[in-house]
Amino acid sequence: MKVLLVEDSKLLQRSVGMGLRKAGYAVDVTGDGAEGLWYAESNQYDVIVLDLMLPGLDGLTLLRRLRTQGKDTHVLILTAKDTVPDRVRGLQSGADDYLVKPFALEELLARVQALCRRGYGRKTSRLRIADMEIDMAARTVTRAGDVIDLTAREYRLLEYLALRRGEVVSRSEIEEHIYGESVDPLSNVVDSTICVLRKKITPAGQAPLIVTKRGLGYVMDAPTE
Amino acid sequence: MKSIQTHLTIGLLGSSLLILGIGAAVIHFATRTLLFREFDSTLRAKAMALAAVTKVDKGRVELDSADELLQEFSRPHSTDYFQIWDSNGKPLERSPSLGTNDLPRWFGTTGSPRFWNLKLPNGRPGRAIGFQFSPERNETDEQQPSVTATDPTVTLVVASSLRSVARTLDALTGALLLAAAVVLAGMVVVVRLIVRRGLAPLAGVADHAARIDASSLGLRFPTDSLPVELLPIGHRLNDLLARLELSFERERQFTADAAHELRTPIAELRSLAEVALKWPEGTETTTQSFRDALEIARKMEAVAIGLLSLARCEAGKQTVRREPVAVKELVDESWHPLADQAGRRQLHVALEVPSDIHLATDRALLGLVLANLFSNAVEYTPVAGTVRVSAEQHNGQFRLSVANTVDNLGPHDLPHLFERFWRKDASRTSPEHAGLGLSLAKAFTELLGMKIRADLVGPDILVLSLEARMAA
Repeated sequence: MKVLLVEDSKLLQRSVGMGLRKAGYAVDVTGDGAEGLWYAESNQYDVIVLDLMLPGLDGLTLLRRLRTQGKDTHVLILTAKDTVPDRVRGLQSGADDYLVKPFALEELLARVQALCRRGYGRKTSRLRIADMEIDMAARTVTRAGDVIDLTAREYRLLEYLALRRGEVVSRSEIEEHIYGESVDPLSNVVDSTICVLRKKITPAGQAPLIVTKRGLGYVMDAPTE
Repeated sequence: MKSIQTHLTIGLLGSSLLILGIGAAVIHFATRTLLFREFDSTLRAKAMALAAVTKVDKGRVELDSADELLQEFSRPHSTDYFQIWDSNGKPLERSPSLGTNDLPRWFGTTGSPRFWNLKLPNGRPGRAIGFQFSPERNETDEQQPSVTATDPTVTLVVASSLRSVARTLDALTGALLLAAAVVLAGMVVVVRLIVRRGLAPLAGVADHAARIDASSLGLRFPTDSLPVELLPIGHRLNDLLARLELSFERERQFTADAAHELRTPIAELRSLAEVALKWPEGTETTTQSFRDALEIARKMEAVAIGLLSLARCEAGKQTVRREPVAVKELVDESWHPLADQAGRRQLHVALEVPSDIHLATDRALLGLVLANLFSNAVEYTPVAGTVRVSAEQHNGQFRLSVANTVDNLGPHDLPHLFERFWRKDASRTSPEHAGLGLSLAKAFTELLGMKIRADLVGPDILVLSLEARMAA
């Protein structure tokens, strides 16, 4: 999952950015509205966390321009403006959610997660593929009732593939959503992580849930009989 | 509890009662006087008639017993009495109604008889008339002149019961009391009605006041419909409401500003603490967290101090102590703390203040104004820009200007420069700049009796000027 944080407070950039990363999101951060618009136009984010009072370009203008361009990325406004007219204006400008400062980090993470789910047409925090169940709230994975131990990155990859169940997900999409800008384009970090993940979630003798489509990417789905 | 209505009602009724009482007393007295005059007149007529029938016959005083008048005094239970004495006080004649009793022998003359009240032999109150006269001679003494110097002089006292007068006066008193009672009862109703109607505007003011609370301080008393007597109260109450409204609005603004401006630093502090607790890191990260917390604390402190200073200033609690102030010295002193920052930003600075300008002002407050203006200039002048501070004194006018280059300010921004928390680009690059500096400068300037204004000279020079009329 990839999140853009547009917030001019350096301290909030640091703490919220860290919280989102620790929660398993690939995060881009900027403190300038114009730069935020450029990021949003140039990348495919699952959620944009947007402050309103920004240098360069204010948050509402950024949001309206995105919507005018047809970008339907989910946007959560994070602002000190707490009046009802402010909230109404924000939501009417195209925001999907509105959170007033000060806020609980847990709530921000939960709202970001809910927006991510909504992006993939999911309403619950539980995903089930064959006998594997992913609890996106607790960030746990079980298969036939057995808990599977995954690293943070493996979990994010599994969750992303599961949310796009049945779709071919390209390597570049995985790099963009899971690794952000930190991945070296020439490395095979995606392939190796897929390999490890496949082994962990596939019991011996059973068909794998993740299938490689050579030259295209990967598909996760329940194996056909 | 005191009630104007009760007080007025009792006062008006009491006054009416007093006036009615006095009126009744006057009527009673006048009637009594009239009745007594009538009575005296009748009494005198009776006495004169008796005197007329009193004759001297051969040196003896006699009454003409055949006269009808004497019949009056002879009837049983008669309340008319008379007695005649000779000049030596020896009783000569008396009415049968007197029996063996005597009347007091008081007298005047026939021209000016004496009247007095007395207790009659039957124990009832009466009135008497007494005078001395010389009776006429009887017809048999025709050879003598009718009255001579040697004729005997007699004293006649006639008394009569005052019963008829007392009855009339009692009837009058009763009528007066009845009339007073009816008038009083009518007045109780009328006075209450008049008082209630007269106090209706006061009740209207009370009803209006009862509708006013902290959420409706915009309401005003309708002075158009108030009577003249209540108009000053209405005006004063409206003035008071206006002041209260302004004061409440300032409080609300203070609270709203404080709440809004503290939201972001509180959010920073909270998320910082939550992240540090949820994902504890090494010493370096912990140290950074403390640095961040300190920065947030400085930001919150700047907001709190700025807002409290503004609130104190607006509430008129900031004292002003005027003293002679050398402007150049104060400008140099106020610039000194910012010199390093200006150097780091490679600003071209010119402090052009003549050393002979002195102002009678509050040194500390003017120092704060200058510090805010200079800090604003150093913070918002683009790197390698220019800051020029100048002062002049001409025709009793003082003017100090801080001119600095700007790169993103338009004429439409000028009215907002002195607003609380207004920032051109919402930047929060410096924790010390809470967006209150110019608001504070304006508040302090007005407190010092100066004016502050902002002008754009050309597209990129902002000039903030302090202007004051110098004391003669």
